[in-house]
Amino acid sequence: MNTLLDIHQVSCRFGGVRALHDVSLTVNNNEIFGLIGPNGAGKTTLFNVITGLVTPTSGNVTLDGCSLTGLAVHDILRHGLARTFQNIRLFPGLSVLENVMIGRHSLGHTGIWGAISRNQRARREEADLRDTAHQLLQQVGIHHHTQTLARNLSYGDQRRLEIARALASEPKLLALDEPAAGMGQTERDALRELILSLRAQRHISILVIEHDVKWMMALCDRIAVLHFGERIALDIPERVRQHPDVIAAYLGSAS
Amino acid sequence: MGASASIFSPVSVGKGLLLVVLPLLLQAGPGAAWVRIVDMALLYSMLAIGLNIVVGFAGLLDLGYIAFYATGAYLYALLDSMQFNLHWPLWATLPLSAALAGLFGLLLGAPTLRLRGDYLAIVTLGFGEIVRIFLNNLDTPFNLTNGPQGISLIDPIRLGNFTFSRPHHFAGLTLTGTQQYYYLFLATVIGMAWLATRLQHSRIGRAWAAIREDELAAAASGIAVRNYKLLAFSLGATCGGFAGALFAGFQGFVSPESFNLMESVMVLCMVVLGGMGNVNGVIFGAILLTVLPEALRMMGDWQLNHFGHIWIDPNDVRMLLFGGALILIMLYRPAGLLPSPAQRREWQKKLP
Ligand SMILES: Nc1ncnc2c1ncn2[C@@H]1O[C@H](COP(=O)(O)OP(=O)(O)OP(=O)(O)O)[C@@H](O)[C@H]1O
Ligand SMILES: [Mg+2]
Repeated sequence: MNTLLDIHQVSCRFGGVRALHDVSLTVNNNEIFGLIGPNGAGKTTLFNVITGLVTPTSGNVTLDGCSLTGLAVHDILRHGLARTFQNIRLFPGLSVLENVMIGRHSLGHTGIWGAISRNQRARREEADLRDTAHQLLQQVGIHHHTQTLARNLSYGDQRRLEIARALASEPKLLALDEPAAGMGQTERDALRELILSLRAQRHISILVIEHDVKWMMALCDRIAVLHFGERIALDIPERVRQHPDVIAAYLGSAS
Repeated sequence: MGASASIFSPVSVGKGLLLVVLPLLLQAGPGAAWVRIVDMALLYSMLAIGLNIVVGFAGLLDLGYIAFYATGAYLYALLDSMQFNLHWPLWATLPLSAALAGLFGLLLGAPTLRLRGDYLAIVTLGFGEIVRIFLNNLDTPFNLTNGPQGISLIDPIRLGNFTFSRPHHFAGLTLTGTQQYYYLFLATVIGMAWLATRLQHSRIGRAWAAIREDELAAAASGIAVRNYKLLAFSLGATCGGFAGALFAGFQGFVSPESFNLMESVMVLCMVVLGGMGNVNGVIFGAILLTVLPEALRMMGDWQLNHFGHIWIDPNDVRMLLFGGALILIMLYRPAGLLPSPAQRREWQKKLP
C-alpha cells in the first residue's frame, strides 16, 4: 500500500493550549481514514494544519511525496488536498452552481484577455465547467437547485454542496470535517453511501472527522483517536473500539 | 446570454435613439447647462463602474478612490497644457494616465491586502488624502502641480484634427463642444460597462465574488486571493485614471479641491445606492446623484424667482437629503435601487 498523506510529528500550540502534540499518521491511496476524539481534542486543528490555515509549531506534512509545509492555502489545494469546514463555509450569496464552479477555479486557465474576448478557448472552458459542475451536483444529489442561493439551501444540502465544491478541484485527498453534523439518521446513511461511492468512482482518499462512532465504524478502513492533542490509537475500527485507552479516554468521557 | 438577441428589440432601439438625441433635446429644452451636467454624470458613471470593481465585485472598501481620478487628471494636465508647454497626443496621454493610476492602484493594494473592512477603509481614506495633499504642495521645491491654484489652460481633447471643444457641423446640425464630449463620454461609459460586465461573468469575476463572500473559503478553493485583490484594485484604478484624463481635457482646469474626500464618498454612494455589484445599477446611481443636486440647485433659483428670497438653501439641505436617502436605502433596499440579478432573486424569495 502506498502512502498518500504523511503527517509527521506535528505539534501545534495556541498560547498555553497544546492543540496537537507530536501527532503522526499516514493515509493511504484509496483509503477512507477516520479521525475521532472528544471535543477540543485537536481534530479540526489537524485539518487546519494540513490545509495550511494554521502553521504548526513543529513537524511536517507531505502529500504524494510533496512537502506541504509552508505552502499557501491555495497552493495546497492545487497539490490535491481539498476540504470542507465544520462550520459550513460556502459562498452564501452565490448560486449553488457558482459555488461548485468556483471550486474548480484551480483547473481553469481563463485570464483577463479570455474573459473579455470570450474567445473559443474561454467559451469551451466555461461550457465544460458548467457541465462538470452539473455532474458534480448530480453526484451529491442536489442538482435540482442549481440556481438557488447557497444560503437558502437546507442544512444537509449545504453540507453536500460543500462536498461538491471540494470535489470540483479533483483532489487526491478529500478532508471532511464533521460532514454528518446536524443530519438525521436517514440523511446520515445516505451520506455514508455517498462517501463510499466517491471513493469507488474517483479512486480518491478520504479523511473524515465525525463524532458518531458507530457511523464511522461502518465507513472507515482505519481510525485514529485524538485525545488532548495526542494520538492515542490508530487501527482498524474493531480494534480501536476495544482499545483500553480509547474506552477510558474517549468513550468513557462521552458516556 | 440573450443580450445579443435583444439588442435589436424595439425597446433597446428606442433607448439607443434616446441616448443619441439626448444632448440635442437638452440643448433645445432646458438649455446647454444640462448637457454639461449630463457630461459630468457620464464621467461619474465611469468612476462608479471602476469603484464597483473594487467594492461591488471584490468586496473591498475603498474610501480613497478619487485619488486615481486625480492621478489621471493631473497626468493629462501636465502632459497637455502650458504648464510645461507639452502637448502630447491623446493616444499617448490617455493610456499613460490610465496606466499610472493602475500602478497607483497596485501600490495602494499591496500593503493593504491583509486589512479588511474598517481598517482597509481607513488606510484607503488616508491614501486619498495623501495624494490630494501632495498635489496641493508640489509647487515647491520645484513647481510641478501649481499647488492650490491648480493647472489651467489644459488642452481640450483632440483626436487627430478633431478638437472636441470646438463646434462642428454634421448634416445640417451644429454640435457644441459639450455635446461632442457627450458622445465621447457615452461611448467610453458603454465600453467600460461592457468590459466590466464581461469580467464579472467570467472565471475572474467569480473569483472576486468568492473573495467577497468568504475570503478563507476562496483561498481553500484554490483562489490566489492576493493576486485577485490586486487585480481588482488596479483595474478599478485604471478606470479612474482614464476618467480623470477625460475630465481634465473636458474641464480645461484641475485643482486639488476637485479631489477631496467628499468626492470619494460621493462615488461610493453612487455605487451603494445604485446597487453594488450591478454595473447598470451603479451607472444609474451615478446619474441620479449627479442630476439630483443640480435639480436641487434649480429649486433655489426657483425660490429666488418666485419669492425673491431663498427660504431653504439647497446647499444646506443637500447633505441632509443624501444622508436621509442612504439611510432609507440601507433599511429598505440594502442591495441598492437596481440590485444584481442574484440579489434580486433572493429578495423576491424573502417576500411571501
Ligand atoms: N485558532 C485558534 N486559536 C486558539 N486556540 C485554538 C485555535 N484553534 C483551536 N484552538 C484550541 O485548540 C484546541 C483544539 O481545538 P479543535 O477545534 O482542533 O478541536 P476539535 O477536536 O475539532 O473539537 P470539536 O470536536 O469540538 O470540533 C481547543 O482547545 C481549541 O480551543
Ligand atoms: Mg472540530
